[in-house]
Amino acid sequence: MNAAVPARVRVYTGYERLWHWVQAASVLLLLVTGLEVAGVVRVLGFARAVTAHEVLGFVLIGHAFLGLFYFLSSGAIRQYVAEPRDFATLAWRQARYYVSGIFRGERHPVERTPEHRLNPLQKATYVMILNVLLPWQVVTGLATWGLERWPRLEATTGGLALWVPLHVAGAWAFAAFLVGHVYLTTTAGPRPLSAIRAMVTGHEDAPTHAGATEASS
Amino acid sequence: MSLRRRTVSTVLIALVAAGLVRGAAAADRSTTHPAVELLDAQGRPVLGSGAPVSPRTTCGACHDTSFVAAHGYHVAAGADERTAPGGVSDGRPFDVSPGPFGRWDPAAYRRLSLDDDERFDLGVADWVRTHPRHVGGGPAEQTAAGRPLAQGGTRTETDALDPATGRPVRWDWAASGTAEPDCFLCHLATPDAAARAATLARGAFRWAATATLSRTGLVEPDDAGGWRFVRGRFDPDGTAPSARLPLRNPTSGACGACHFEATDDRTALGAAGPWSPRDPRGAGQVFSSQRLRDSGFNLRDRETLDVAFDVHAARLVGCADCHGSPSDPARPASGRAAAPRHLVVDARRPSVGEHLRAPSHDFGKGVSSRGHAARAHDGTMRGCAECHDVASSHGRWLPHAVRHLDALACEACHVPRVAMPAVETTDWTVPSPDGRPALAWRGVEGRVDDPASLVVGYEPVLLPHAGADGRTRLVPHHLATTWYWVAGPTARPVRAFDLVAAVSDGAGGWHPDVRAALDSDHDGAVSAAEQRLDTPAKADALARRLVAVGVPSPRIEGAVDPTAIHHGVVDGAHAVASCEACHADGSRVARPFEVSDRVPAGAVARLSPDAAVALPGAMAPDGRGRLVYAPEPAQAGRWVLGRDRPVLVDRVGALALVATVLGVLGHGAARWVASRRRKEAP
Repeated sequence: MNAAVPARVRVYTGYERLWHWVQAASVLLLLVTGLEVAGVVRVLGFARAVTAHEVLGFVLIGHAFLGLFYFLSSGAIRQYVAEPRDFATLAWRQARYYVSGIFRGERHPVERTPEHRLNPLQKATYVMILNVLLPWQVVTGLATWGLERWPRLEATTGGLALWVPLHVAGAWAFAAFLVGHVYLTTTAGPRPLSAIRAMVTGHEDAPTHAGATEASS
Repeated sequence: MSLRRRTVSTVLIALVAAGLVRGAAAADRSTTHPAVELLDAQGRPVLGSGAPVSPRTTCGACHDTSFVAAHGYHVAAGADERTAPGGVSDGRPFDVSPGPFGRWDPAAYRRLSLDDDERFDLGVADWVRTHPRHVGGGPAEQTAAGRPLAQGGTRTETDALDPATGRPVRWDWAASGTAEPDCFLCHLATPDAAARAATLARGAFRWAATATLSRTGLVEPDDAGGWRFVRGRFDPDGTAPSARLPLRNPTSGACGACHFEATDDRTALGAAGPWSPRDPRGAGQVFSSQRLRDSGFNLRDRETLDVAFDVHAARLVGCADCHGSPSDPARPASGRAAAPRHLVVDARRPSVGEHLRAPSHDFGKGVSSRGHAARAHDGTMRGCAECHDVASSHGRWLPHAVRHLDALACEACHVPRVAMPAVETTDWTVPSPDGRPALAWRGVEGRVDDPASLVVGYEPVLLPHAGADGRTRLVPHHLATTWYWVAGPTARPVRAFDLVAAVSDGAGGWHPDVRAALDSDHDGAVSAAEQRLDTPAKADALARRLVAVGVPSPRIEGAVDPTAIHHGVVDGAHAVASCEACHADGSRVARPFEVSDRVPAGAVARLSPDAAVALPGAMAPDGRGRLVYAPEPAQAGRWVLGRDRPVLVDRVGALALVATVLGVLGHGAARWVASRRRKEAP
């Protein structure tokens, strides 16, 4: 039995962690306040929930742009860019791993390193989240917000009856993503909470090639 | 300067001064008008001629009464917009005008006959007799062709219904005279509308204006059914002293003589008895400065109702302040609608003298929720935003104030409840043997005419209604239903004469067949509760009776008529201010509203074609036999956050989320089991 203490490597910068948790908190609170705006729950009261939802929405948007600036200027954007070469093969391996390999204790098909933190499926997911779902929510949310201020735009842009359902659809997608995202973090590291811990501390154990998550769980 | 000119100038200056301090005391204004000499139609002093007072000549000595009559939609009553039957936009096929003269009002029921009506109902003379709220003039003086009624015209203009035979008979216009525009009705501080109505009802039209003066003491009834003048109460020079004939700008009370319950007197509302509005179609609205708790009505929680019936009245705003004459220089142009399109405000104003000589009586009006007479004057009244800085006063606390003000009329929040009862159902399918419809009231627990009944008022329903600015906002409305029989291929309403003939035994009692059909408890009488056609058997019995009196193929229809609620306004402290009142389940904007306490067997009610509102949602009988309208704002393109949800999106989204959670749980459980097995494996 190899009992060597694994090396700790830095996988997330301070800003990346701040960015992640602010986005996470924003999305989570947007979902909660959104539920209240929709009349499903009563926590803050309708007026406060609307205000909170709007403020959080702008926090999310502003932070997304700051993040975009950071990822572009630092080059970290490359983490999210899927490389065409071998993408399909690696994605297939990754999918097979989730479907069967993970139950047999196989190694991750794509080794996670500080330079390549995301596997092909994650990259594809984030492309969809950051380029489709987030803009979708931003646009539909801004439209809803704008129609509250400039109601006469209804004639040219459609009313809330158009934009709110689209926004709600995006919210459901975000909620489903959150569940899947949190769960899949438990598959990313040597231990179930390794990835989450890494997003808190910025460090995680270096790969030991000793097996999959369940080996130490 | 001649004496006459000097007198006129003095009067004008006095009136201007009175206008500037208006609101202080109506009594002061009433003394500014000089004493006048009452003249008859030939311009002779009535003291000498003994003939009826003619407002045209009496008031016409200083004012252009012809101009007033031509510029007053109260006079025309829609007669100046007469069309051929079916030519009224949004009207019924048998409407001949968009106004009270020629547009059928289901609740009032009786209908101005058409020349091709086989069964004659109202001739013009009948219309004048039964419409004392009409100020006179217009159709009460002239035919559609513009000739004096006495010179003849169409059958409707020359004939009247013989109440004995139900057939048209020639009306003697020469004997009755015509009803002139009655200036005294609104400008006299003490008009006797009841005496005028009684005089009109007996067909003595030319005496109507004289009857209006009966409370002045200047006239009194004579033995011949007319009126005589009391010489001793006139000044020695023959003029009527202003103390006895106090003429003034119309007060709110003058409007209230016809329009719902507007008052400016100091008699406590309700002191004289239970709720009995002068305008039963007023939907329970009250325009009064009096506090609800001080009224004589048996109001629920009255001790807590420390609020005026209408805050504007309490602040000394009168009807004319918003519905003023467009030519009144004391009330500058009241809105964009009053000006040419390229102007915000039309700065051109008549002088005081010009206005007093020829005052326009096309008073400022909004956009009616039913009927479309005088549409050219829509939007000429003073709107809320012309006095109130709505944006700044609401922007401080109301989230998305622009949005709310765009979607909601001010009244939507500032008339949260109507304090008084309103007629909910008018059932003409089984009128009483004396010809009165069955009425059902909302807003009162018990009989409306019982002073002990608890008055609870009601919450109006919010309906989309296009305002003068073209924007459609939610406006509080009352909805009332009228059930009635129609007959024949033209589906014209069965006339009241035939209804009475069908239900009565000719001696004031119920026809035996009708009594047998309605008397469910077999006590030999038809109670109010039994006076309804709630089973097919009862409806068939009435239909057979109608056929028996000559009505072909009768069937029941229903009309739902809206009345916009603009009065009974409360201040901000008492207005709806809770977001959850609308943005939650049970939202005010979608609260079901009972539109009829009954649905006659097999009958369907529809929104009247001239209603200027939409009813997004569904209207259907509930399990207790009542007709209920359930608003659905989304059908009108409105989305109420907190209340409306995208059901399909929610279902698909919830399915996706549940599938994800189940997938995660399944995958996680499988990982855990696999991990345990690997650990246990040798």
